Amino acid sequence: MPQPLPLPLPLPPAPANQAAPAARPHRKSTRCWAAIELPALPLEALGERADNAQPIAVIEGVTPRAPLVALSAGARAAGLYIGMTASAAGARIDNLSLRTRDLAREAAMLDRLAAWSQRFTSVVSPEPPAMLLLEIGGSFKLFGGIETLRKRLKAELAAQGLAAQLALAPTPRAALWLARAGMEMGDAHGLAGQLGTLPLATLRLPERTARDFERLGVRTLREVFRLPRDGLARRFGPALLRDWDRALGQLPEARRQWQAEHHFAAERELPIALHETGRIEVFVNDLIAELAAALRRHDAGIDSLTLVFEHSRLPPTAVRLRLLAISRDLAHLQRLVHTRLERLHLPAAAVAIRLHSGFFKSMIPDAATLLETRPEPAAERTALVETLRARLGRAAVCSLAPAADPRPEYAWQRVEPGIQASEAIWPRRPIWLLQKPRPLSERPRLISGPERIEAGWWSEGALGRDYYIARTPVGAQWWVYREHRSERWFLHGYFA
Amino acid sequence: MKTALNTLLARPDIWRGGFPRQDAAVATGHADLDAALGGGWPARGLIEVLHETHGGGELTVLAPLLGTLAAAGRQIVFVDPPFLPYAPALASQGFINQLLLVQTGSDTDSLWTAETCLRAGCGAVLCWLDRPTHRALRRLQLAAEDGEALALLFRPLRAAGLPSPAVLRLAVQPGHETGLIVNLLKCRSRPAASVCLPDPAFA
Repeated sequence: MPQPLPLPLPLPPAPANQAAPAARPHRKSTRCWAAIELPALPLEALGERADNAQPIAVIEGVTPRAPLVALSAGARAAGLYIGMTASAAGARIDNLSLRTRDLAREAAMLDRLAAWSQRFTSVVSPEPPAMLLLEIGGSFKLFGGIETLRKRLKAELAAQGLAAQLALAPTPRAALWLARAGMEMGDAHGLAGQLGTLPLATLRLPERTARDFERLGVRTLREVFRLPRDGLARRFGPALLRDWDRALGQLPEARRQWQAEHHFAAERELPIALHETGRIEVFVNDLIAELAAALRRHDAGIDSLTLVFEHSRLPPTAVRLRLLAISRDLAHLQRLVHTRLERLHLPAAAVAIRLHSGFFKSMIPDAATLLETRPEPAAERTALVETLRARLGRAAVCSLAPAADPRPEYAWQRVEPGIQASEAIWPRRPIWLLQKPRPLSERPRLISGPERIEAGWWSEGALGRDYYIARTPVGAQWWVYREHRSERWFLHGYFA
Repeated sequence: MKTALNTLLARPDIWRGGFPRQDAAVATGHADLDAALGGGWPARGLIEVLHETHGGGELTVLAPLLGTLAAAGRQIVFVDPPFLPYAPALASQGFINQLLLVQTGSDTDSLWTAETCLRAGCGAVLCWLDRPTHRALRRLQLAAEDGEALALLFRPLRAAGLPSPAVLRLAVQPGHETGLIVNLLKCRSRPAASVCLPDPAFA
């Protein structure tokens, strides 16, 4: 039995041309978006409650002029407001406790909330920094109607100790705006009128645009969108009008759907404390096989994994492996770990091992080919580079490419294997370069040159040199130069 | 008796002087050298390049080979080179996109890297081992055969007297006034020879 839609919040007197909003039953197919705004997220992410009677404020940055971004109830009661500087706030009350904003923890908390909200709907879309959008239209029946669901959402948010603003509307953008403005219910039939009453600040416009509107005497959305559309688009860009049309449902809005990130973690107690990695490897391989199975189940791959060896007394030894390309190939992962373990000397016997992977990433596995048996050269190289890096370390393996710098010392660069270098034409250059030119005691026998290189006068590495090719008495060819300033000769490379 | 001998002689690891080699060869880019080598560079195995000084053309001889391998999409690996391979020079040789530079810091790791790369099917692995043992050379040779790759080992000229399992050993020296002199110290199924390369790039 469809529940009647509760009356929207009291509207300010609507203009005459606006039809009075009427309570109408929701249809089953109605789309309904719930927006959850967490105004005190910076505070809550730091483990504080927004209704704390103690004055607590979160500041963005560490300077005295840093603005306050979130306040506890106590701080609000003391007359502090969002946006005032830390020093001004400190001057107003003396027992203020200031905390620094932690964006990473806020993002993690929003992520956690997204995971929590998946119990109400499968369509969850976060709107950073502090909002979540849920499409709950399809869940009314399951949860016993819109009002029950709304109450349950509010109750569960409160139970988590979060100060949240919840708004429902037929479109995601309208729900977002309503939640920001502190209204709870959008009405499908009088949506334009209802949104029109929202203050301009709801749009979170850039400061300059907001000032421009203020100068025009515009304070509410209705006043904004009553302006001629073409002029508005010309002056403030088309995004504003697009948002308005999306809010009213005249344009569709595509939203990125949130998906839980999976990773793998498993632990194995060793039957006896083992010191040699060779004997531990059997157990490690078990874990990797489990990981590979999990990856296949999720149709995903990983690009990093960490192995932790627990010791009875010492702190655990952790080994981190990074892969060049996303993989889920059991043999490949085992080979990489084998190479790494070969070189690992544990400080003490291990009593347990843990394996955890990086987040699962979607991958397109190599299809088995009918005719070709040799793997793709690129895949072959990737596997080789990973094997080498597993033993020698990341920095030991690289490729080289020329760099656009006239100074010979800087005309090359290390690049990740697989990056294609441009095969530019250079004057004759030696295959071996001495990274530190070697001074020569006397002028060598020159066979070609000079090539004058004067560059770098704009920076520390200024140089003025005449390069020659020289031939030594035994017949070797050297790349030498005479430095303009000191008139001394240097050896810079070999034509090997 | 005759059949037993023939069976023995048909084994791939038995080679006889004076008979043309069976396996494929890669052109060296110099007609004289091709003739002396019986077609070109061997396609697999260990090649020792002995040279006295740096800058004596020891890599110039091999540049066409490395270019050919790179064009076939195979990797060229420099393992612990004595100096920095200079990218602008390599870019004009045409194998920079297939190049891997590995810097290990110890001979054990150097040998391991070379073997791993050879078995992984890289085209050529260039290495500079400090006083390699006969065992190490043997391992390189086997790994190269295994991965159908070329192990290119650079050693000082004084190692010429030491025994080696290499398929090919050559000494590269700059010519008296111009060009390069390549002495073939050991070459399977070919007599030792000396070739003078009038390399225009090495005038």
